[in-house]
Amino acid sequence: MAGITSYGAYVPYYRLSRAEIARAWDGYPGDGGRAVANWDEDTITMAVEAVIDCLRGFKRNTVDGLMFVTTTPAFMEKSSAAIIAKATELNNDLFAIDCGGSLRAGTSALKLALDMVKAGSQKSVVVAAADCRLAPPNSGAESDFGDGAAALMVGDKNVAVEVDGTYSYTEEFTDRWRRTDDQFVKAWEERFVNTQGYNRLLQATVSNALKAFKLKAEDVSKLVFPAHSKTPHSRATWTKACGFKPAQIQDPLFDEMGNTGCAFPLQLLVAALEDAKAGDRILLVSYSDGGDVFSLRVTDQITKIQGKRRGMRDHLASTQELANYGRYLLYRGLVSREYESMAPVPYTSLPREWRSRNSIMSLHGSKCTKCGEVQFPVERVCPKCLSKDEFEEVSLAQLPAVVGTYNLDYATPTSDPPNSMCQVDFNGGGRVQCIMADRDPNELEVGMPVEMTFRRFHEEKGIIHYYWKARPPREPKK
Amino acid sequence: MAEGTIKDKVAIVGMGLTRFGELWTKSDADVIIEAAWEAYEDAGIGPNEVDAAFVGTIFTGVTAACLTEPLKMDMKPVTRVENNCGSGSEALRMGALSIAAGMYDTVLVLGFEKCKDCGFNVLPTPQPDSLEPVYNTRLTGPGAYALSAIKYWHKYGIDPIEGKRTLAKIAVKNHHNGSMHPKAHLQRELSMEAVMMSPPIVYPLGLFDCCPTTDGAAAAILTRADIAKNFRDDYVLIKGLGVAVSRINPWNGKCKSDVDLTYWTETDVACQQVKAQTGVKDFGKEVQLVELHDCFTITELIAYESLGLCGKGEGTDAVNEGRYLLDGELPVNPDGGLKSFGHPIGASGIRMVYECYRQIQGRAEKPERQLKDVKLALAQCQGGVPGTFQANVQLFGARD
Repeated sequence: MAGITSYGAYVPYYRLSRAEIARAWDGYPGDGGRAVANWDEDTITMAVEAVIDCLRGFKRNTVDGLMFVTTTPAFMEKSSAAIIAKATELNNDLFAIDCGGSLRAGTSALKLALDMVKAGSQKSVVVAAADCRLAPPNSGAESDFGDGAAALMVGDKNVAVEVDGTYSYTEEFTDRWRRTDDQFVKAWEERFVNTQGYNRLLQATVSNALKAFKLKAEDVSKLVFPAHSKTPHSRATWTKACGFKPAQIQDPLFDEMGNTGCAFPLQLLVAALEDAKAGDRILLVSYSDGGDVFSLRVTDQITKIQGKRRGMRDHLASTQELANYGRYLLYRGLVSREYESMAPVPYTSLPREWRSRNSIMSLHGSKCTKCGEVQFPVERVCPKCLSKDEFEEVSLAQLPAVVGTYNLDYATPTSDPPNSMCQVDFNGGGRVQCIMADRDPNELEVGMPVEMTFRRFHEEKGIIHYYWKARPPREPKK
Repeated sequence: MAEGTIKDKVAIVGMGLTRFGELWTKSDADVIIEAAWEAYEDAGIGPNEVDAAFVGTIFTGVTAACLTEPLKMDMKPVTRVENNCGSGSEALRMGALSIAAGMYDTVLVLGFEKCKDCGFNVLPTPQPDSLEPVYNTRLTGPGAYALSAIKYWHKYGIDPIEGKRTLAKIAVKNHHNGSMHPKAHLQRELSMEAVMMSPPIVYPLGLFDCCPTTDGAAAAILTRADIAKNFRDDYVLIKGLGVAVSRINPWNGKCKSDVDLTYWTETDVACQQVKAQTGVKDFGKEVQLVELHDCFTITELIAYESLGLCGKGEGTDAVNEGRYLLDGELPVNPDGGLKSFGHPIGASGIRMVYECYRQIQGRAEKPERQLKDVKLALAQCQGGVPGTFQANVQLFGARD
């Protein structure tokens, strides 16, 4: 039976506190903070993080489908899924698709993945949803939105979460939208949006679904849905009308993260599964022009995944507050470091990058089969024994590593100053000299552990280049 | 392999040097003309009396026409060489070899750069259009040397504040020396406090750990040693020319796994070449003046060790003992070095030779700068960054 076989999630390292947003705009300070992607993160890189998390302990070459979902794609034409597949080293025998267009797209893709597995066209499909939506500065949405990603693997063997039923309801309703050339999300007045859209449509959708599933509200252990805003009363109408009690409702993580668009319901499902036990009934709901509803039952296989992923819990336990609102503007590209614009800009030749794609996209080095020396990137002649073309490619991306030396560069243009370069020495050999991300400049030292993270590296001549950086491991802070 | 030597085959009979600095009112042509004419006059020749020329520059145009055009040296054998910050030294080496080969009697070598015309306050990146994959972006000169400083401190167990204090002493020394040279870019003293408190450029290097961005040109007239006396009595002889180029830890992010960034191996190798050519065994004991490449203070500290002036890890003690001050046992960078004199890339290698030449001749610009009895002077000019250097080591000496 087709179901969810693994889960993973990603939440960016940085938090912008609602108090800091209020300070910037002389507003009323709210609680908590929202997740903010670093300047070098986008929906592709966040999806890579979630997919890597989802595939921990699984053989990556068993995946034969990748559905990438976002409403904020890096490319309108050009497959983002193919980039994610290369960075996560999936097989080339892969069905890959980019989906989007609606905040429901994450659950829509999940339904399609289930149907593909049921139909037998694919055996193991990863659904990776990520969003990084821009709210107008000094709007309520600026505080409400967050950035993040989730990944679910769908298959029919060792299913951890069975899918007993799906139901979808679609009724056109314009509440929030972005035209193709809009930078910011637009919305109609909040009362209309809330009463005639969110609460009315979800009440209809979920009550219809319960009927279709032959379930009552009290049969549900956890109700997982995208909260509309931070205040509980904004969602009380429909959950109460459908018969749910507050204890059944999954924490929407507004204080820790915010609304992450099409990834939001999937991230909250991951959060629910981290606490679930075999036999639990979970109702997964998405919202946009109606909604998709899934009736899920947790199996005993869940214990093979629980605690072996960073998921939502570990990511939310390893965060750093942004120093100020200006930093947020830099990260989202809403202000530029204009004074540096005279400096010559290096750009990358696509043919050269393509020839080095295994090193750049998958962080492969070469290991000499004669003497064992590992070098990065893949080079044909061994620097130790000078053997020519006697090597095997080795993947360095997931290896533990330490900092050999580092610097803090206040002169180099970056939206995350100071630019920190470091030498990374991998456990088992190999060294990469690269930029550091998500680091505290005051805590860098020779010998500190780091791990590699896939990032949006530079963008020149209209071309986006991705590459790997080093960061302190995203482990819960003590 | 031939064990050739250049020793005593080629002489320097004239040199020219522009004022170094932010030369807003001067063009490439202006600095080239000023350096060349001073060298012609110093050698007592006219502009049509050189047989060939070699020009070292990194950022200016392509081909040797950058030299022939302002000097109206058309139809002569002129070669442009580029070896990053070692470009000027390479021009001099090529000029000397061409004379030793018997091709020419009199050769002009000239290095120059106009760094300040580019519109931003750092060195123009030499490879903005290098088309390299992503590896190569965002590591700067100071960034690369900062990696060395952190590694050096870690390797020798040096506390960062003490480490910065040692580096600051080097900056203070070089500024003191440069403050007395009328052609230096930054003719002013620096206090320890000013260096220690200077704003960070790339931690751990502050503003005053870095050489300035500078315009300027330097030139030399070379000739056969056996006819040098026809030009002047106090000609200076080229004793040895070493150079080593490598990319053992390429700065573009490609890394071999065991390169440690705390020693300038290429400089060491170039030293061995010069020692083989000259029979000199210990630069620290046998030369009376060292001009070395101090684009950053850490560059100078590690160069002491790489040139063998002191042992590995002993640079800190040597600085604290004041061994390399102007009145110390072996003056290093008596003209102020890159740090104070400035660093117009292609010019720097020949600027170092200018100081060696004038000190050997006893013609230092001010009497208080003149060192006593300089018989042998060493110049080390090092292009690139740690792990990928083009290191020139050159030895010059007084005639018998």
